[in-house]
Parts: sequence; structure tokens; C-alpha cells
Amino acid sequence: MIATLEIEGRRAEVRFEQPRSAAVLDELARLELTT
Amino acid sequence: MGDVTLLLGPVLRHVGETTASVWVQVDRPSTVEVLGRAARTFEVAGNHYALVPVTGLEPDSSTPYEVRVNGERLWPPRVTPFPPSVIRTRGRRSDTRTRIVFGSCRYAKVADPRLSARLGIDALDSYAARTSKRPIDEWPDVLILLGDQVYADELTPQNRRRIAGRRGRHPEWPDDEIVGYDEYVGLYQDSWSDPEVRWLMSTVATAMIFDDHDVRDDWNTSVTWRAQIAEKPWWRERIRSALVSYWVYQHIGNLPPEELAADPDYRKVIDHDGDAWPLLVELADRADAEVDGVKGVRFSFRWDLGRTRLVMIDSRNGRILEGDTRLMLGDTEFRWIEEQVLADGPVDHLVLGTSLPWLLPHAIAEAQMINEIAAAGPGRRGRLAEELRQALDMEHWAAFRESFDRLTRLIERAAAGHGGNGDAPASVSVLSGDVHHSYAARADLPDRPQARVHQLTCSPVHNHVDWFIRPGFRLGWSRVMNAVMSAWARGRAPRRCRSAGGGWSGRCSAT
Repeated sequence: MIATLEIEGRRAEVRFEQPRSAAVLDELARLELTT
Repeated sequence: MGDVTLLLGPVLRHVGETTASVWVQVDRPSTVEVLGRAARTFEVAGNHYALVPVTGLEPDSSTPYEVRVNGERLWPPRVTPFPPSVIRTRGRRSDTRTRIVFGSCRYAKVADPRLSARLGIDALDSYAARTSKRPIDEWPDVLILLGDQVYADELTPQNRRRIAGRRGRHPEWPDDEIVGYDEYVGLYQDSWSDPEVRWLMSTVATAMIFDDHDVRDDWNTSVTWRAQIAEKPWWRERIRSALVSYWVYQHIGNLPPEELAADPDYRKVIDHDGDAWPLLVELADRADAEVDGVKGVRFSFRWDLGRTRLVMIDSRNGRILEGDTRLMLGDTEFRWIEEQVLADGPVDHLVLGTSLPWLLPHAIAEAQMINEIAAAGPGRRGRLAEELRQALDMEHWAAFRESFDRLTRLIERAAAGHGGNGDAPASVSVLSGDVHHSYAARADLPDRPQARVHQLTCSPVHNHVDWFIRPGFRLGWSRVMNAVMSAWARGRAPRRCRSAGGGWSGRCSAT
């Protein structure tokens, strides 16, 4: 599992991914962290 | 004398608006050069390292770099499938945009097919391979590794063979654990030499903190644990090797250049003529010892990423456990954390890193809080609670109630904009790992501060997930178990949070 925190201005979201193969990851969840 | 070899790295560490640090390990004393800036290697137990301070970069620039050792180009390799390694500085244009990739618990790759299948695919390796095929503006700005980068107590088959074949290994040293510094060198070689990961770490600024397996399972879980482990005849050598290797491989690259330049320990090591092992043993002893509630070395650190502030909290070595005290961090280090979190400066997003989750599912947090109270008691009940604490890893922030409450108060203040920053940040995110389970939890704070506050836990990057983890966490979030534990805790439980999404663990799918 690996996660990415994306920040753009006052907006932030997190994305959780798990690997399917050597260079492919599937997104399991994406969550908005700001209003 | 033959050609010098680049054994590990380059690892791109702290990057500012005009500066960067590049870490390498080579096989002999050398001069290492990056973009015209040079550093002499320093020696630790016969191994050779350099942290090259690169200065004079343009803000918001992207600069490909090479590593030259004694004048010879050793990075990038002559033939490579990867794009050039670059240093991407921060600046006004990138002030409001940051992409942070994070996770913890990354076991090294193994050749044994059964063990490899059990561990699954290395998420960091896969992420690195994907990143290398994408345009540079889709690369992450920062990689945060939240502990258990090396497993000193759960060896790969190749590491067992390596230490079994060593001459001069002390007969009292266990054959299934790392003890000596040279053995730690082998662990980092296994972890950081994977080609995709090595490339990613050469081109993405990387921040790190350790967790227990970098040293030993349950490290500093309690004063009883410390007394028990101190009786092992090999422990002294182990903790010294663990802390010296952490300082060399992980810690020094975490420090911004001005802090590094002013660090007396770093100055002593790079100015030292000869092997710095004795100096670093003194540092390790100082870091491990509690003197009047203070540890002698602070491993917590802060990075400013434009309008995003990262404050990394050392929730392992910083613990104060002697006497009747039980704290995740001593008062001096906690005050430093508070000052960094609340310091002046525009902050749109506050990111706190701690290898151990601040927020856990209610029932698990309450069980840890009850366990802490019981373990402090006398007699059989106290001993049983201590055994449970060690067996069930009840050692997260909730198991250090005083520190949990202090961290919660700090987060509340920061989320409400009570620092010197004026406006409140838009988000406060606490990044953690350790538990071999991934989840997002939104904190329900009583004053409903302007910023949304989340616990974001991502683990494992590459490791197996025990069968009980997923049902255990599901039970931990359940209302029934929450009610049972709340009744047992009788209102002494930590603050509330609720699952904002979660239940993703290892190779399981979303629930």
C-alpha cells in the first residue's frame, strides 16, 4: 500500500493505492480532506 | 588502487528554494561532487559516506545532476532505463502545490518464492517504476518513509546467510538478529539498492523517521521492556549500531542545511580525521539515555514546503519511561514540536508525521488506554497488563495518555489558527504507519476548528498482513465494541474520531 497527499492551494486530498504488478497500481480510495 | 564504487545512493534528501543535500555511500575515502559542490567522505566503522550540500540553485528550477567521485562520473550509470535524476527546488510558483507520497513498513525484496509471495508486490518499487514512465510534472515532490525501512529483528534468508558466514561474530550474538554496525550496512544495502527505488530516491526529496523494527520489535514500549532487553549481553552493541546507522543513513539528511551546519555532532564527525565510530557511539549512548527526563539527541525535525509545513515527530527514541514517568516525548522535545507547529509563517496545510498513529479505531484506543492504567498497577494484574502490552503492541499514542492529550491540544490549537499564522490552515493531516493497515480517520474535535483534521495511516508498503489485522480493525471501528470499551473505560477514553474511509490493508480490497 502507498498513499499520496495532493495539495493544491487550500485544497487537499489523499489517495491510497496498492500495486497490481511491477509498474501498475490500483486506486483503492480517494478522500477529500478539505471542505 | 582500483576504481571507486558508489555503493548506495545518491539519495536526495532535504531540498529548499536554493539548496539540496545529496547522500552517498562509497567504498573508500573520496571527494564527492554534485553540481560543482564537493564534500569529503567521513568514515564510520570502515564505511565511507558523504552528504553533499548543494547550494546556489535557482528557485522553482529543475536541474539534472551527476555524482562525481574523485572526478569520475558514477551517477547516473552509463546505461540506465530511468530518466535523469533531477533536483527540483521549491519557490513561489510551487508554494501552493505539493505532492507527498508516504508509507511505512517496507521489507526488503527476497529471492525465496514462498516468502516473496507472502510479502506481495513492493508498493514503493511499483510506484517508482510507474513514476519513471510519467512526465516530470506528475512526479511527487516529497517521499516520506514513516519507519521500518529495515528489519533488524526479522531477517531475510540472504541476511541470515550473510551474518552466519561472518568471521569474528561474537558467540553471544543471536543468529536471527542484526547486532553489529556492519550488519546494519547490509540491511540498508538490501533496502535501498533496488534499481527503481534507488532511482526514485535519487530524484525525489526524501524525509524519514524510524520505527521499532529499525531497532527491535516493541522498542521502548515500556520501562519494563527496557529493563528486560538491557539484560541481553548483545543489546549494548545492538542499540549503538542501530542509532549510529540511523544517524548516518536517515537522520542527517532530514536536517535543513542551516540546521545541519550548526549541528555540533555533525560538525565533529565531518571535521574528524579518521574513523568517527567512537564519536558516534558517544552520540548513540547520549540518544538512548534519559537524563532528568531528557534524551540527549532530538530526532524530530521540520521541513517547510512552501505553504505546507511538515513537522516530523520521533515517537520511538524520544520516549521518557524511567521512574513514574511515561511520555512519548520528553517535555523539552515536545516544546520544540509545539514551537514548530505554531511558529509564524503562512501555513495552508499542516502535516505531522509520526510513525505510530495518533488516532486509532475507538475500541483499540480505549483498550490501550485501559492497558496503560492497568500496567502501572502493582502485582499480578500489572504484570499481566505489561505482558499484554508487549504481546499486542499496545504502544501507540493512546497508550501514552498524557502525551496523547498534549498532542491533541496542540492539533486543536493549530487547526483553529492559534499559532502565529493568523488564518487557520485548511487541513491538518497526521501521517503514520506501523499497524499493517491503512485507513483515514477524521477527528471529531470539540470546538470544531476551521481546519479539518485527519489521521492518514498507510502500512505496509511491502510486508505481509497477519490474518487477524483486518477483522481486528473492523471490530475496532464497530459501534458495539465501541460501546463495550467506552463502558469499560468509564469516560476516561481519548477523544473521538470516526472512520472517514478505511479498512484497506495490504492486499485486501476496499470495504
